Amino acid sequence: MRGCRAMTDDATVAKFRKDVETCFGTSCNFCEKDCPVYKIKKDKTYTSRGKNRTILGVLEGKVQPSEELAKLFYTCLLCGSCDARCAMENNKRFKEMRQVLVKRGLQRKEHQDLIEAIKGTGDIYGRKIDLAKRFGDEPKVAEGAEVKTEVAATVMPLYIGCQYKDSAEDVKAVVKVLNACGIKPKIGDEYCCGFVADALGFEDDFKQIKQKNREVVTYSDFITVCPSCTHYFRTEYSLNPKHVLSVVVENLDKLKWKRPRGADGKKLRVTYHDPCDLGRRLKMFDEPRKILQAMGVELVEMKNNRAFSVCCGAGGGILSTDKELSREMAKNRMRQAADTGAEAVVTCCPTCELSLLRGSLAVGKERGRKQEVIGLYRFMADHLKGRKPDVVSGGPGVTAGAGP
Amino acid sequence: MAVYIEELRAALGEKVHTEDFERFAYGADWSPRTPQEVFPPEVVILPKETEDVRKVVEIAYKYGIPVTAGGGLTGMAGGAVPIHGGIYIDGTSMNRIIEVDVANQTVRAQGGCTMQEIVDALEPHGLWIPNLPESKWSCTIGSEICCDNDSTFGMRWGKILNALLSVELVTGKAEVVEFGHRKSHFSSSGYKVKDLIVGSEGTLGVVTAATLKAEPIADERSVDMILFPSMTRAVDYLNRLLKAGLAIDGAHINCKRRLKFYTHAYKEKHGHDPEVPDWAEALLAIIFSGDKKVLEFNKKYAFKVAEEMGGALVKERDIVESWWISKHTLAFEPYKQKWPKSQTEKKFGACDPGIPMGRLEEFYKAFIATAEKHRLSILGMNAYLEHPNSIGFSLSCALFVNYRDQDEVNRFRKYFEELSKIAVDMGGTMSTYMGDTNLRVPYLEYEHGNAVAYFKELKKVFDPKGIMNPGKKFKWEGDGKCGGVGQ
Repeated sequence: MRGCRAMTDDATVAKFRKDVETCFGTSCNFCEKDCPVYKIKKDKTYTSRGKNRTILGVLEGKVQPSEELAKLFYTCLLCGSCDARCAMENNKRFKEMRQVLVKRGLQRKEHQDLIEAIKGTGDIYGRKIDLAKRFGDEPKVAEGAEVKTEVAATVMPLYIGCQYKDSAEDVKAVVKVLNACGIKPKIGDEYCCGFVADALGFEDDFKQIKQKNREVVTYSDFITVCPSCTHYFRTEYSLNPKHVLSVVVENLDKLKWKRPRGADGKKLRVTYHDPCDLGRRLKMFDEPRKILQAMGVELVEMKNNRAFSVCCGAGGGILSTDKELSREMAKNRMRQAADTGAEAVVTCCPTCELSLLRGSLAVGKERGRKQEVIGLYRFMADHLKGRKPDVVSGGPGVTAGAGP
Repeated sequence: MAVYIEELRAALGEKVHTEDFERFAYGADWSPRTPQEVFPPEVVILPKETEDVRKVVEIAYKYGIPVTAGGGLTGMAGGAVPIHGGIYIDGTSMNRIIEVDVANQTVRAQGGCTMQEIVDALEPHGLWIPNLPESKWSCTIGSEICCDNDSTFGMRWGKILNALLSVELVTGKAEVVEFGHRKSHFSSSGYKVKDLIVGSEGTLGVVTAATLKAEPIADERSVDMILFPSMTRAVDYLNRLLKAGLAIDGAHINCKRRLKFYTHAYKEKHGHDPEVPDWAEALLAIIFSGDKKVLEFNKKYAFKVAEEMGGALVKERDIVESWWISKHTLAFEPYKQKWPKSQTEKKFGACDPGIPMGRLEEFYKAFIATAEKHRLSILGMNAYLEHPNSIGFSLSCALFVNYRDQDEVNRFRKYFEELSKIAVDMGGTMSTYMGDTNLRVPYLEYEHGNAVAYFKELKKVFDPKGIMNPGKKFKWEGDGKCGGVGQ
């Protein structure tokens, strides 16, 4: 088993002392209640309190750095559930612990491979996808599926992100919805935003990826699709991209929808899963709900929602190191969804969608009824009927006309 | 690796954890202690079934290894801290609801179910367990039984013994025994050994399952606060209401200073602590529940009597709601949960004596004097009414303790011991919800005299080698080979 020298005098770890001592002194254990990892493992070491105490043990020289210790900090979703139930920034600390572990050569091999893939290709999966060739640099929706709008379209760069790049269906859905909002998205070359490198503790690699990103992705005003990319561009790049959902909400009163129907022909009953990055980090709880309400669904909430939502089980790099644990967490979330009686779970994150889908198969068998898992972009595109005529104010006789 | 650990691994495989980082977090509970006073066990077990626990104790018994079982590790006096090392059993991995019997209003749960998990399982059936502490999200039924902890609704429903019908225990000899009366509410058959297990702090065995009596959930509940010129007046008032025939779900008498600690939500909203008139020395939080008309009658009657007895209803609802949030609903704004912010420099530390009902004011003065003698900041006192339909209270005599300062922590412990003895001197008891733990071991005879000899004999019946949570209630006579340092 790999180990490394003690961390008792490590400057990064030393700066945690006050907070981990506060956690030790407080010991309220509120973090345990909805920690998805703890719910499966039932091992207190894996809660936020447990990890904080372990850091204290490291500082006191009573816990030695080792590959096994690193596993503890990598068996964390960095979902922020504990932070929402605390008043301290635990996730930030755990991410910085990962940085310390990486610097000491205790990173997970699977994660190292991911980082090499990003640095080699600018893509999290090591793919070389020519986005302009795949989608056209100004992608168009299929004829007949487009939504006509009398408002002249504004051309805006659209950053798709690694997770959505391969999903033509999602990208076309986004394009259709943006068109209806008067936006003509322009897709160009992309480079990974690097959030994975940062989340996994590869601090130096993240800096390199960031730099490369800015060389390739030169625009500053743009629209984003993926919650994680959006969060990172805002916090680590000091940019302020607009998320697709914000654009939709701005245009919501102008959009017309075909009402989604359930199997019984009545209003479709859905529940919404708040992705960690879109929800807790970007605070976009209301936007998806406003859209769903406008679409005419019957929206029911899960027991844990909004800031107290429970992670789908695929965050923090866990998918690459413990698929089984990830699936069990997804199942737990889908059990909450099933408890609502909703026919479908809607979410707006590519990672969440896949993870919840994995969970839905097993929980469907358990409960005798499988819930659909639907991405909000495709849900919107499938039910978007059109745009209401735009009214241009200016007195009688003046009607909306084509733009310049 | 020690032979006993190898045998544990052979018997339980992945349920056995021995890495240093897997054990450290289990070395402390909620009680005031410095970050250096952590006592990690040698091995942590995460059992799933009673048989797992039995195997653990069997091996521990064979080698004379200490066994400490714990739940949420939110104990306030070190009860579940494995001070003599050895084996720690984390009960929370055994958290299955075994049965909800709606017709008989009972629930059977594994010992590691939290009180909230039990309440959640009952709710769809219109039932609940009223014997709930503030720590219900973490406190397991096993811990609640072994600690005999406090209850928010004790005034009507009592403490856990009032709901406990039957308990499964793995004794210190690794025998699995059921004590109690199945699903009947009481019995005159056999000996009431089930009662003995309540408050036994894991020194007789490990609670692996329990059957509890559930109650129907009332349609409505109301929480109010009434100011009184003294705590004694508040006690007299409650006595008057009981005499009148009112059913009071919960009653908590806070001294003036204590209110601040419970009204974090108020301070977040208004930017300052709630203001209490100078004349009011006590705030009584009173909880009623029932059908709407009954509730309205009870409240009207209760408030009329309060006015007659010099009390004044707290009209500012935010104060009451804030207290209730702190005590029961535990709601908070995301990222603003009160505990970490309020414990950055000093933490809540308390003593939990019980005293005769007529000596409350006198004891309050002794609490203040003892705290001041040991130069400790006073948080305040709270009397939880915990005896069903009768006046009987647990006291929480709380201070702020700088947990980074060993000297201050030591002074807290001296205060704790001294106040415990004062309670005995006043005709009361050292502990009403935290247990003796190791802190009161030197004073057990002070309170119980020659009864202690009977306690020790009983302990030998259940735990002949003294391996179950050694050092709690009694000094451990073990050879210390498992490491850990006795306090």
